[in-house]
Amino acid sequence: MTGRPSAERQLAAGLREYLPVADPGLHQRIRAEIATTPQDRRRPSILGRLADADQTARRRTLLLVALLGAALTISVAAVAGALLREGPRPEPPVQPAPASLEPAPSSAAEDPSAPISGWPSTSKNEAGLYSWDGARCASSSPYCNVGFMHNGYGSGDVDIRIAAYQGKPIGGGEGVPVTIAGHDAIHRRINDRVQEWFVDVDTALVTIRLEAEPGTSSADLAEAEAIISSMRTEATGGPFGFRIVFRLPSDDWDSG
Amino acid sequence: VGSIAIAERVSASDTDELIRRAALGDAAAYDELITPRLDRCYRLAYSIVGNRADAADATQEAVVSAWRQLPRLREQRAFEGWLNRIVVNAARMSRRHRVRLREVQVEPLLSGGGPSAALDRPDQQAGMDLERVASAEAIGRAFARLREDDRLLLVLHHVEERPLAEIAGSLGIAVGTVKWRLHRARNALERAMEAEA
Repeated sequence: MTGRPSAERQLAAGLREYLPVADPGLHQRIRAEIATTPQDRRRPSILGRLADADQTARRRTLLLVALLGAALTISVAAVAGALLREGPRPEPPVQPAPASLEPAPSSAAEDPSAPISGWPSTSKNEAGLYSWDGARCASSSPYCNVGFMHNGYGSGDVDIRIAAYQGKPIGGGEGVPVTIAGHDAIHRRINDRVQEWFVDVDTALVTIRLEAEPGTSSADLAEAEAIISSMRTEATGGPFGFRIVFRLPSDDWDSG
Repeated sequence: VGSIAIAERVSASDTDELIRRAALGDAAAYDELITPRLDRCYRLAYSIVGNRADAADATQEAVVSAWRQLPRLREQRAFEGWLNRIVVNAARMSRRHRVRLREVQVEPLLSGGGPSAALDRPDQQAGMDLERVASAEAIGRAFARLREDDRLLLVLHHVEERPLAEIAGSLGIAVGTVKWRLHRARNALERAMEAEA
């Protein structure tokens, strides 16, 4: 257990030896330039935070302003709508009947019409349905390994990779027969940190690899396994003819 | 532990006071604020541009730019990450816009001596120094082979020992992503060292 910290100390010491320090002349030059450089003074303004020197704070303020703007727009629209309803109702113009008057779908827990996004982006992703269809694979390669995601906005301890081999059936080998995404699959536990599933989906073999850092919490592991349990396949026009749809239960996951 | 915590609080409060005074235009306070951070800024810039002259120019530009913009920094707690970001941006700009001949490092790697000094002393200490030089040189060569992002993370975490949250703020990524990329950067450095060996 002490090997890693020792190696890291050695690494840090080596880097400190290698990296140079600033020469005293640099400090003198900076002092001289600062003595003749005026500071940018913030003008008093209700939107002063939009000029914050910290990019992160500025972005946060911009987001807040955008949200306030959206809320204001919705409020104005709501008030205008209410006023219009209270006023004299104008004669409705003659219009063709709508093609369909079906009711809006109910908001059930597993709403079949819920939006399905593609692969999670490298930034924060909302909880919800996502998919992998191998569309980002190189067209000339029968092997595709672009499906990487991890709980980077959580502990960063677990990651899931999806890959596919076209036209390769499950061979022999060891493993436990299971069902993943409604298809026959083999589950193998490589070691206490790595598990793999080999899923036979029509003409392709999909491999799903779950890897956990040492000391990963049981909650993180359960969340990663829940994502794999939630997988289902749908026919599409992608390179493999199907896509794997899954649910991210939290907004911790990204592909960064 | 209690005394360390108190010392850290005092130090943070001193820093806040220096930032406040510097933001009001007190150049002496800014000098006091920046002096202990100058080597960090320089090493960060060096890890991007890879030579001393450009690293010095980028550091100077960043530190002066931070002085200019300091009155507009509202959250003093964000100062460290904010300063890192300014240095990183200045170094990246410098690398894009300048073409310089690669420098040959002639300075000794060891403080108070260097490889030749170690060679002049045929004792055990000299042998240890030689090992350190070889080790640092190997790490340095391997380090130079890494991607810029990996170099930055290794410097911020292992050399400057900055907190993960601050590194995340400096680079605009999540803490979990910092952990993951650090893991990747260490692996890349190990592979590069094996290649150097």
